[in-house]
Amino acid sequence: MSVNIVSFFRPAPQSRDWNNQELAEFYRVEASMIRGGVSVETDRGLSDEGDPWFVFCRADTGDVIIHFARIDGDYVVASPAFDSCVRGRHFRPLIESLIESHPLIVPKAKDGGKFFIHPAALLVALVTTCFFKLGQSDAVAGELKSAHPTTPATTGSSVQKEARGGALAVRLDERETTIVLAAIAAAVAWSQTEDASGPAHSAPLISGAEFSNQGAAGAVASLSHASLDNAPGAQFQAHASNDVSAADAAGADAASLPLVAPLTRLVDPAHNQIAIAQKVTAVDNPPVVSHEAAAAPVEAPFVHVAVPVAIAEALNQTVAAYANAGGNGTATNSYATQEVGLVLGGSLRTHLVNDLSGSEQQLVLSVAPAQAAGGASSAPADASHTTATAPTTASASALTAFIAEADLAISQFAAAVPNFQILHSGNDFILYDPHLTPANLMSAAQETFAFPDGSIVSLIGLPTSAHAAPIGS
Amino acid sequence: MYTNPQKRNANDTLELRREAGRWLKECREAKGLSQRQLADMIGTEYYTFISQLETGRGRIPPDKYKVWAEALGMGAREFVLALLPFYDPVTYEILFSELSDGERATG
Repeated sequence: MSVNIVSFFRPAPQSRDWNNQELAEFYRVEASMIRGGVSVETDRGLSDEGDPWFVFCRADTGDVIIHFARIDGDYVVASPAFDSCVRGRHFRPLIESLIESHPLIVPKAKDGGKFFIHPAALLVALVTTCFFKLGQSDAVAGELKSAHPTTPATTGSSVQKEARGGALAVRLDERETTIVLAAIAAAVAWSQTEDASGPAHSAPLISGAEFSNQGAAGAVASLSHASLDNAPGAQFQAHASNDVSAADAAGADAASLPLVAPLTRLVDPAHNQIAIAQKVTAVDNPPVVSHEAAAAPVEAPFVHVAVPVAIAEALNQTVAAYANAGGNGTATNSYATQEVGLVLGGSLRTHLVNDLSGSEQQLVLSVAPAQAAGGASSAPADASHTTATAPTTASASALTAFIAEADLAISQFAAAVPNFQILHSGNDFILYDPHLTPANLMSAAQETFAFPDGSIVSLIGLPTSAHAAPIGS
Repeated sequence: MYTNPQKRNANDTLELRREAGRWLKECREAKGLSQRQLADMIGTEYYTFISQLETGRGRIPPDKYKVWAEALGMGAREFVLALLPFYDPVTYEILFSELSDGERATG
């Protein structure tokens, strides 16, 4: 198996802080909700005793939606939405009990059996429950609401609350159902992309989830999904786009490996530091995730564009300024522009470089794929490269999941390589470790996301041991 | 639950709440209380809520002002007057824009 482990310089996690897996889960929920059009933001911290907490907040008012903590080893969840605090040793049962007692999404198994919801979707469902339960949920979906003038309005909020089983259940209208579906679809698809890296796919998945629909009584939206074993297309896979990947894969059993999150964080106990694992793969005709909404009115839309517009505009200004200053960038509103802007926000400006010499640019481009930077690539023979290509089908959820994975990879890269730099050219963004040199070129790991509009985001990392003087220093 | 949302610019709101958090932390530390001790005194089930507030996320619910003031050794009026410009600057300005600093302190 050809697996290239790249260790990044990152201190060992605090013993009591959230571990990387927990944080990844939280941030995946945030990204999934944003993908679905729910305007949320997150924050985290440590108490004076070192116990960690993590909150989801409404982006428009800053009000806290839900508070997660780990106190004295127990998980704690509290929200104004349910006016109580629950505590437990294990996280998932805690979330399940909250969902059961505060149902926004009301699962109804047709055979009367119990529903199993994927953990990633479970947390999305809970946070979304709290979001809508707290009411006045304009979110980004305000635009969607105006597009559905027939949606009945209720006083103060389109969310309808009703007493149910002693708890306050919330029923959603069409647009809100659409938002929840989109968020959950993104979470599940995203998670499956990661799950697919392991041999066992026995984790329970969503087999169906019905949503009460205020706009059409009796009509339900169903997010149906088969298990991974029955859905070979339910994962993204990469196909090699350059000679290196093809050669690597051809000579190793890695050819059959699916693409995992390219910068999946692993704890390397031997070195007591975070490592980045990258698997090489070569699979042609990548299948796509298929989440299908059985009820036509609520088929999950691709709402990606609505969220990052402001950031993208700001980014365009930055890029335009860069181009005017002599850089070779052009201001566009490409997928790559929007996703890089969405993930990096205002910090993007500090990472853009425009003073690289010709040889330095060539060094970076030599690792980047042929599509990037005008095709000037001659990738090194031993570098670990993967290229994930966006699905070519019209599946909105597949595209959403692809973009979510790109966002996760970018954010993880930014966290692992805090002083990274960005080389921008046209619609392509190359985020690279500034310690890249001709000497350590062979040990570089690269991951590229090719979006449907042809724009590209490439991530180039190095193992800590390969660090030398930064480029341009 | 009453949240009294402030429809201000999100960045303004966050900065004001950060200032409120810093002030609350100063008050707590001046009393020599840990976050857990303060949480016990105000009846909060999860003491990380104190850390969250001191970071500038969220706000003290109005129905908890009195118990907070008591825990921090302040009068409720004094406590709310100090907190109001952070949590509800519009109301505060309307009520107190004509007053001197001394008058503001006493309401």
